[in-house]
Amino acid sequence: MDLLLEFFRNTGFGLVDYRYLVMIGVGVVFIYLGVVKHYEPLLLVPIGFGVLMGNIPVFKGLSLGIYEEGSVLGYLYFGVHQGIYPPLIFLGIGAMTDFSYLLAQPRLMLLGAAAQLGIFLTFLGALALGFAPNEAGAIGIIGGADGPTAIFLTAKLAPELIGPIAIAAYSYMALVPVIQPPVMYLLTSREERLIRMKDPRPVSKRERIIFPVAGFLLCCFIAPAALPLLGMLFFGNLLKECMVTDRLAQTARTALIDIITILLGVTVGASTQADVFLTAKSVMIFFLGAVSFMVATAGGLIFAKIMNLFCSEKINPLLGAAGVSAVPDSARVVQHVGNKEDPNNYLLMHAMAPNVSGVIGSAIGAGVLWSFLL
Amino acid sequence: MYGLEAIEAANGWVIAGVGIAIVYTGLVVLYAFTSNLERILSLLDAGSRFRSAGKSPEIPGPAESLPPSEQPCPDEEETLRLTPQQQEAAVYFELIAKRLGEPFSLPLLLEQAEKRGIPHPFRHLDTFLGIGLIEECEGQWAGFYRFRRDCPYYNPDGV
Repeated sequence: MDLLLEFFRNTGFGLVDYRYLVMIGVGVVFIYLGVVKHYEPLLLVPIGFGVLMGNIPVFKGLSLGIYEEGSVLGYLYFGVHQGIYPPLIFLGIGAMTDFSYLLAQPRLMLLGAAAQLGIFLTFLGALALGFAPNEAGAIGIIGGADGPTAIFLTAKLAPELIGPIAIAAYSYMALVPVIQPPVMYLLTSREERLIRMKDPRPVSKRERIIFPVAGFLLCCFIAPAALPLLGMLFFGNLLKECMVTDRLAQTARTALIDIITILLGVTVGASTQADVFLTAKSVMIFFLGAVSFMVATAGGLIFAKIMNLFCSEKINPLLGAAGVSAVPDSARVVQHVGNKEDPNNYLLMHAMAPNVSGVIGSAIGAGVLWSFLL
Repeated sequence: MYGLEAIEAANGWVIAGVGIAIVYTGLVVLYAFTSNLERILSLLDAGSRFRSAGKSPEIPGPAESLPPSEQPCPDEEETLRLTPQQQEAAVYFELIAKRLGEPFSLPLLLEQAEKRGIPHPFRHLDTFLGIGLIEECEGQWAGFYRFRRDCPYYNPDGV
């Protein structure tokens, strides 16, 4: 009988408390959102299941938990907290990104820069709410709307916050179609939303090949701390555009990125344990995350309106919202909002320009925060 | 510490200001380079055309050719050559042909060329078919095509 009781005490049933159950509920909700509602399923399903794995109550000392030495999950988590997985994801992203929209309309790159205001204003907001500078930097990067960048920077600055920051970043990326439109309607007039953009010029193959090399050199000379992320992004793009490394590009944008997404999602979810996640800090992180997305959207929209004061050829200010680097969701939101005003106004390909420049901008922003706050 | 006091204690204003400036500087420099890239490449092409001026005339694309009634009679001894853009496109078409394997189908070649962003693929293909750089196979492979690397107009090393 004693043996049975002892056995029961060491099972999950014996070790559970309400916090684990709450987190298991959170994991189930993420899986539901991914599978049934199709909200970013490639991210929410691995993260959701990871949350379940990380919140099974286990007996300490058996190397089962993600934070225990020698555990399998711990070994897989190494790629997260050492910042290995995010650059590899950027390699795949580069291999599937088409920079021709950006090359055809370079001035739209500046909208991507403007949207990164969300990072630094959120950083200030986090400092004002009492977070330490390194934590505030990790929270600020949520405003970059870039999951791998957020995880990379958080792993460097505040690894204990990876769970809530990753979940906040990916949740809000999935909610971009909900967060952005009210800000877009608030800050633009109907006449502005009806502005049509000229068709972009065709971009030569040589430009597409030269851009990743030159872009990498220019950006990393200006912000060397962005090297791991931008290096892999531009390298992946070069693999795609040069046409002599098709096999490598194909692997990077399919098998490699899928493998890393699985490992990243599961381990980030598993790292989100009740004692870290169910705190007042997490609530504030979620609040700041929502604010950062709205500020980033507003920053891009307002900058587009400022550019229109000086440009003879007007820019549709909705494109500023696409500077939030949730590729391609924010570009799709711009297309949708523009289409509602004028069904014949096709903004998607124009919106991809600030969208991809936002990825570059958020990587530079992460590098800057890392170098200041390390 | 909270509020403005916390921001000042952590040098928040300086970090935010310098950070925004660096992000803007990076993208402005990239914008300046990108907006001039097409011009720089055109100048380089003009330079190479200037250096090879006086050599055999270039093969015009279909859009640039004169109507049949105004076309000069071709001189049999006159040799023609591809423009730098056509040479560049020819190199990309060769890479695609290698990837597809020979003989290949023209629609597939065009589809790949469009997918990879080669500008004016239809125009270039028409030129290459005209000069025999891409030619139709005979016999059982009629209807499929191959890339003639020994075509006298093709000079991949010059690209």
